[in-house]
Amino acid sequence: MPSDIQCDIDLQALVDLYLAEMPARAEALRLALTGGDRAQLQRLAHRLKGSAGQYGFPALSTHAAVLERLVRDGADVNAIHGAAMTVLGLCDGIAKQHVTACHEASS
Amino acid sequence: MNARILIVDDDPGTRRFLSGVLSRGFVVQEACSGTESLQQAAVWQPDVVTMDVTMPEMGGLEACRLLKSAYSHVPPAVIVVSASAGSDDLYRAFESGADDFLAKPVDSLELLSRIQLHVQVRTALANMTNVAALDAASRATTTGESGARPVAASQDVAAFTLAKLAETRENETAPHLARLRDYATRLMVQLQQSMSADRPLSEEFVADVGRSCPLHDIGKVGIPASILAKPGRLTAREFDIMKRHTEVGAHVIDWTARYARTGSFLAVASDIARWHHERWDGTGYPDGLLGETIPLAARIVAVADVFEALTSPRPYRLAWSPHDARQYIETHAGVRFDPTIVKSFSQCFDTMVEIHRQYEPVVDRPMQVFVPRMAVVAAT
Repeated sequence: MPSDIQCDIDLQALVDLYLAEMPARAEALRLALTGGDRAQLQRLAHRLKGSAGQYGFPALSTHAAVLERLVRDGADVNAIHGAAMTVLGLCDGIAKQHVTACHEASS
Repeated sequence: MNARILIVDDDPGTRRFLSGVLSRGFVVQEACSGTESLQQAAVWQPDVVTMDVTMPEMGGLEACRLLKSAYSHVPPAVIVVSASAGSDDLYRAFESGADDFLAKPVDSLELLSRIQLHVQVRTALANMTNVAALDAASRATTTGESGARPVAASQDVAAFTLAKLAETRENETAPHLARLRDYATRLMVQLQQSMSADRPLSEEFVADVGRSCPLHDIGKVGIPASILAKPGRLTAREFDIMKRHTEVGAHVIDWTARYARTGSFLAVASDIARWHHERWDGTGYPDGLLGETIPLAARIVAVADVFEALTSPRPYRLAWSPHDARQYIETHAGVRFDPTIVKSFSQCFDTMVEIHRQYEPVVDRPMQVFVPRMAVVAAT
């Protein structure tokens, strides 16, 4: 899943940095989920929604928005868990791609 | 000197992105909350603030409100950047005093160009205030009305600068604004002759309307580019958002008036911007005003604006002949337009046609992408 904005060379460095931080972002989300910290989960999902959209990952932004809404509306644990796993899956996919791209670039 | 931009967002990734884009043309600082933005604005005095909406502690709209009320001099322009861009979100943002609105994700070129425009407006505004102050000083030391001229000139410049701000976001050209001004002025001369002697139009009023009617669509700065540039028909929801350009325009002008202190001119401009889409029968927008409760300046510009629009080509239709436009306007007297003004319009129709001919026909150009100057500089 390449970023939509990779054509802009100046912004490529920013996208790379964002991708490099993706595992940490996913980890924070995972912690909030397992710790049952709904306020934190909602905050992180909201931020992810904004930043993923900004960096050209619309799918991740959409699923983060779904997660944010479910948490805000007090949905049941299973629904939130499902949405969070989707978001985490997308985060991991994006982060892996970044590692592969870096590997290819250096080899 | 480069303009100063304060980026306010609670997400470090988003801040870094906006900062990366904006540092190409501006001096940039970041704040991670509404509270922090107020503290930093007080010390650093930015020209423009980009403001996220949902943030812990203090939200962006509250911060915007405080930011706008805390300044005794000209406060920074505030661009609200929000993930939700419904017409309610827009309205709330402008109600809290915001000058502009951008939806997330932000297009980097659009962000750069809008900020550049706000910086230009602030410069024009500062010049206008300076000239007004100079003028007041000169009037205090000399006698007579010799000082009135520079203020009028600076108002013209400011009006066209503000209007250009709206214009760059739409495929409209300066001749359109000049024609509109000439139509409105001619209409008023006719009205002066036909109106009863107890309610004459003052020379000052005629001058104010002529000077400020180019600002009638200034509020389009607050309408998302995706709606302004849409080639097809707008959906009901999009049209609702589009309608807001009247209130946004009046807000922008009122804001300018608060800091410029240049008399009646901007009050008339505000009336025109807010009410030029009202209809005589009360079915217009934004307020559904009826008959003579619609300010006269707005009733005059409504007729001139429709005549100008109909006789100009659009991407989706040819220009109407002045004759057809006249028929439309006369058919809508007492429905859409003030019948007295339509009567004056009919009386001076031949001159209106002359004005129409005087300008080169507007060539139907393809959509142009507005490239701000500093983006070009950054690329070279």
